[in-house]
Amino acid sequence: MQPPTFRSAFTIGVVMAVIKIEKLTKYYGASRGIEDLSLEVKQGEIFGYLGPNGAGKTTTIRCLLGLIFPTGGKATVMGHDIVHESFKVRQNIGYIPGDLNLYPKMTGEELLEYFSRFRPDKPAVLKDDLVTRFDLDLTRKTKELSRGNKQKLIIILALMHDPDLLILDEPTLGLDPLMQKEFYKVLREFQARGKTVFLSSHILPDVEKTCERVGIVKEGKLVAIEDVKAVETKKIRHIEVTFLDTVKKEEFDIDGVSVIQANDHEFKLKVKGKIDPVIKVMAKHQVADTIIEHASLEEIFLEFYGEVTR
Amino acid sequence: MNLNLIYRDIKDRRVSMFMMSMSVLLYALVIIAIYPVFAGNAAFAQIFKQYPKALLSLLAGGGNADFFSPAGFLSIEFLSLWWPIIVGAYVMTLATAIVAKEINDGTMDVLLSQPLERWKLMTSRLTADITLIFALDAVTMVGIWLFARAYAVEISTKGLFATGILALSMFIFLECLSLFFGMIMDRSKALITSITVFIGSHFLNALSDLNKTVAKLRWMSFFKYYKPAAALTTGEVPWKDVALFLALAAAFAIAAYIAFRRKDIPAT
Ligand SMILES: Nc1ncnc2c1ncn2[C@@H]1O[C@H](COP(=O)(O)OP(=O)(O)OP(=O)(O)O)[C@@H](O)[C@H]1O
Ligand SMILES: [Mg+2]
Repeated sequence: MQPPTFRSAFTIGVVMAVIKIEKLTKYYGASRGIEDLSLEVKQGEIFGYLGPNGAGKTTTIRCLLGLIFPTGGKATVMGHDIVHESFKVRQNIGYIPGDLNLYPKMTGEELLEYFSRFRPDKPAVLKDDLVTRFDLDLTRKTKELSRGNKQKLIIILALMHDPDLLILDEPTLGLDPLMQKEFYKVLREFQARGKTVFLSSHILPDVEKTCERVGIVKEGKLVAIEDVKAVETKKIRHIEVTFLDTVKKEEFDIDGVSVIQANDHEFKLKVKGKIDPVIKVMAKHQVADTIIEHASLEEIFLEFYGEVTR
Repeated sequence: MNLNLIYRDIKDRRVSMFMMSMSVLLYALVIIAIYPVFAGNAAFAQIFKQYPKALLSLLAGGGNADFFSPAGFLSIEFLSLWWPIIVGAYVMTLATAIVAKEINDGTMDVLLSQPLERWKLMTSRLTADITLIFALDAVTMVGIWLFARAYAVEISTKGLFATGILALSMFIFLECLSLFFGMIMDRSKALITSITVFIGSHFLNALSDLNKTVAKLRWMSFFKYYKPAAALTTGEVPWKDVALFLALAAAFAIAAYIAFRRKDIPAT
């Protein structure tokens, strides 16, 4: 594969910001979309954009694509202004929209063919490979496709011309776990070729497996940018465990662990951060059953970023 | 201009264009086939002579056309009102499909995320639509010409040509008007507004024959500038009216682009 080329803005030795957002604000009339949001995404990284429903992820992304226009602030993508040079921005982007709507009467093949003609200079070099990997039947009309298969089609559409930047709004929606895995594998291959990925999601475990950094957005504001490793320490898990033998509550006196509910055999725990110490304690006893669940993003937000925004 | 869009749009309209052409031709055929029967029947003529002009105008348009000449009959029964209604409705659906329909369907996101400028999207589709309108207009005129020869009804070639030009400019105006409405409101509202303007114009024009006060507002009705009977009879292209339609079309197209240029595409 060819190395990435950025016309004006790439200087050798310095990792440039592929996406640079400065105090971007979008109001829909009186209602808030995003507010004073600043953010940089570096070349070659997979950046996770995380936030609960209504946080402003889609708003940010659609501003970058020039589908909606900011009411304040500015942003550049690959050195091009998103409002005044939107055409140049879009030349080198692969975009997966959050809301999936395709021309119902076209077959997959026709759809890919139709859209590839808008990029005569960027042939769909990855099309065949992606179709094979995602195992998609291109002869069917899009209206006949299941949600997951539609999503595969739009993934292929966004990626087939091998763009330098991927902007993906909840791209794995509707994909089964196997396909999700394949998808993240494809993203890492893009990254290995020096390409940049901006990926929104509200599912933390999804993002942390793939991304190095995540931006966390809440109520239209960026509340934190963190290395994924740091987010790891902020992870919350709920554990329900049933022991065959008797276990004392005191045994779970561990940093970050709170006992929500307990009797001699059954415990409900909330674990912040590392889970290993808890497992070690559990291992000393006879475990009949256990359920370990990741807390929702909302809960993590409340826990860690609750007071940051008002 | 984006050929991909133009090609696709025209291809997508193959079936509807065929249906439209067939209905228009069938309608024209029936009217022309009837004319000799009508003209040769004194009783008919008597009945129609008794109709008030204004009522005729309301039901069929045509203004002061002579009901008993071939050109007048064809205008009143077909070209003045019913043909514009049929083709006009089609033009409105075409125009609101340029942007409003795709926003409605949610497909605009993917389309506009391609390297495609908004002005190119609009002008390409406008070009495709005007091509289709021209084709429909030409099919109608050629059809009439053929049927008229077949039934020995006297319709001049020059007259048909003049009418075709006038009608083309009027439909282009309608196209741009609906396009503009489609930029500032959603598709169903844009269609309803376009239809309201159409019907309102017709009534304003027709009632102007009856009422002097209403007549003062006649200039606001685009039907005032669309007079197929005159074009058909004289064989002269009413260039002033054509120019007016095209100027208005250009104005609405520019307004449409201004509205579209920085328009937020709502997510579905
Ligand atoms: N067209 C619109 N008109 C008015 N308000 C809007 C519009 N689109 C979005 N909003 C508001 O902007 C805020 C951000 O919405 P956005 O769709 O960007 O959130 P999101 O982070 O993508 O959420 P989700 O996870 O549900 O996709 C929300 O509060 C929403 O109500
Ligand atoms: Mg969203």
